[in-house]
Amino acid sequence: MDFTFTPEEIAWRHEVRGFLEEHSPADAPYEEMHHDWDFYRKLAGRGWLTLDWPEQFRGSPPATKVEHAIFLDEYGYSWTSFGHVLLSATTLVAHTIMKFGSPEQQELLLPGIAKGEFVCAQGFSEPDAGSDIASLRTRAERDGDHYVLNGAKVWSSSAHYAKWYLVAARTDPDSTRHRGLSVFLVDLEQPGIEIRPLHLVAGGRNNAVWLDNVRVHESMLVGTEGEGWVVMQNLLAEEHGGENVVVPEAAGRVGSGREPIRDHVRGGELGRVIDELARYLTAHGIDPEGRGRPLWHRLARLRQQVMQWQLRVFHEASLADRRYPGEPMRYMECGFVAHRELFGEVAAAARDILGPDALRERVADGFAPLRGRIAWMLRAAPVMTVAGGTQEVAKNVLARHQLGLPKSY
Amino acid sequence: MALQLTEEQVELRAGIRRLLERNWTRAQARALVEDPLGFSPGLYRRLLDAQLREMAVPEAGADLVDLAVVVEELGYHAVVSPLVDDLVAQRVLAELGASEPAGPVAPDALGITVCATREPGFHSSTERITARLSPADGGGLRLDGTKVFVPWAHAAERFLVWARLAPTDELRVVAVPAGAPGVEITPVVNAAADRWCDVRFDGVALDAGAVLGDADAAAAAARVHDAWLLLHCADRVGGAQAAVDMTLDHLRTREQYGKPLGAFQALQYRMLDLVMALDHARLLTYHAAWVVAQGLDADREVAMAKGAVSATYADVTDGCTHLHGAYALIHEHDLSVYFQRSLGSIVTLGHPDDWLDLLARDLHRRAVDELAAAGEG
Repeated sequence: MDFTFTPEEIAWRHEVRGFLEEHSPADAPYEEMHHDWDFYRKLAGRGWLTLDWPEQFRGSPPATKVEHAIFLDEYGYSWTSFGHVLLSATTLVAHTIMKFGSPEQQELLLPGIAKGEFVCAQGFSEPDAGSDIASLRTRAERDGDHYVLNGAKVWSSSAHYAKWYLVAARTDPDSTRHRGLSVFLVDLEQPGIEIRPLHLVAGGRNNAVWLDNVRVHESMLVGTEGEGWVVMQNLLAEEHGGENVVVPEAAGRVGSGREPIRDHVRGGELGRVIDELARYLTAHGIDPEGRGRPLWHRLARLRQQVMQWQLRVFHEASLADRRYPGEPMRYMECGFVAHRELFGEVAAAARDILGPDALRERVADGFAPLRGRIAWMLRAAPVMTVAGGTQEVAKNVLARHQLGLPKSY
Repeated sequence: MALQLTEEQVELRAGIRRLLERNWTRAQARALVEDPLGFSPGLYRRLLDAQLREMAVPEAGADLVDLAVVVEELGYHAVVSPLVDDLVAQRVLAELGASEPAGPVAPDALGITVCATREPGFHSSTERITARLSPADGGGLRLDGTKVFVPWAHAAERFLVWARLAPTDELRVVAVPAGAPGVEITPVVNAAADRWCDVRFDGVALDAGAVLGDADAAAAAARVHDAWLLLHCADRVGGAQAAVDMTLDHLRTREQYGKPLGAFQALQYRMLDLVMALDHARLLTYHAAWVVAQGLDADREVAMAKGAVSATYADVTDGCTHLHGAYALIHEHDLSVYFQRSLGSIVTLGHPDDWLDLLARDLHRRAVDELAAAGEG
């Protein structure tokens, strides 16, 4: 068993940290979908928008999953909006095009995504098709060498500033469920597209997209007509899989530049909340021995929860590096599910520790602890257990694939 | 980094598994509940023959992670025995430079040694120890005091007793033969069905040579003792895994309303939460064992592991019992062994508040340092 980082991994961590300390947008709103083009292109300039792209599209070998997890640990700790690097539909669209797109589509999208020239959005969910995505009703009808799309989509994050839109529609009107679906690339600037804002309780906006006789050339069909479900499944469940192979490893020892992970792991955005809460209590003279003991106990419990989550993330990443080396990160692992619940628990505990000041959300508010971060987290917690699929669906998928229980949905 | 077993550890685990599959069943474990001794001397002899006790000595080339692998497997197979406490005592002896047996041991004896640390009262810590070593009238020393929840004392041949040496009252560790005059052993009849005894030492006469090492060595031994109690975490991780495996099997095969129980989402959620908690407990346990094995200060990691395993083992065995419906409520069900043992965590792994105090102080200390550094900067 090896609980060390190599010298190269430690150097990578410090490179990421140094970059973020210099370039992360100061005083930007905390919304997950906040997008800063200037910062985004700096990330692109480093090649960090494509950390998990295969070499053939990236031009250089991808980061290992452990390196990617280190990147996200530092990125999270900087409290920079994740919309740039993780939840962004751009990542998922890029991976879909790499796997299913034509050479022409790949040429059209991938270099521009890698350079940060534009972002993409995804149009799968509909008003009446959420977790049960196979019940979608948007139609795509053949008209010569074009398809004509009609329907309504919701939860298309970043569609209001994205260029390309990956849309799922029903090409066979007589089909039901997952048969007869197809996936298209749609230019969001073309006629027939109306993007309406959905203003979020958590701050920022999401989008509903109306498609009214939108004409798409057949060359923009992704994959095969009627086989869209395979493409969609890959995108939604890209996140899961890998053979359950155990490859024994040499015992890791401290020395020769290798250092214990516990001395370097930061716990991402949640780890920083704990560090800042500890400093806040200490600065206010609340110590762990007196009346502050229950508060510090709560914090100590969170510290343990964040530590075990981080161990899980690096464990899963190191396993994935062995099981499917060179393939993209998969998000639908247990670490993803664990983080979503932990986010809300940390927010609630921070609120209880801080009291009313936790609700202050202006960074400039002199009385706002933790730069107003907790106020935003309290509003964002319900997003966490829904975005990208509800927690229940995620757990059903894990119960089926990791515990070997029967399909229950 | 790679958090997987090494090739040697995989072989080690396979060897223990083969030994247990040939020599131990859960039915035997269940039968022990009514057994006055509470463990199988025959199996214990086989485990000793497998050189497990020797692995506890630093020179053996094994470390705490290797032993955790062994003990997790024992826990999985519901091997209830003094082994963990014996291993902890062996490691404490090594720390005190006294790993050779203190006296002649009968050839058929198991030579079990256990530590007697805890005293009556609300919490246990070395600061609160009052057992006393004082000069005896006819030369040598006498030991007076009471230790509670001494593991497997009824089966031990020797105790390592934490006591204060007159006149300075510095902490010392002293080796006491279990059969010495003045030693009174009373089993604790208890809800967990684990085997503990209260042990009274009433003017027990000892040679000065029974005192192992000086005050510094005793303090170091106390730290080693606390760290090596991690092996109880490994035992519980193995036990919880067995409970999970049994329950997954039940959910896959038991049908109600025309479908397997595992097809009901409410049961899937409960099961997945238990499995994820167990993953965390295992990761924290091996991480802490690894930090100890590296010779680094591991107080924080050990505290996290003990706190998490204590809570998780109870949650998992309780949850798995519940998911079996009424099946697992009887002693005849294998799960009963694992469930009942969850009650003992408060003794073997300590008071949860103690671990939270330790973690809280660590966080506070770091925050004080960071604020001071920021102030200077």
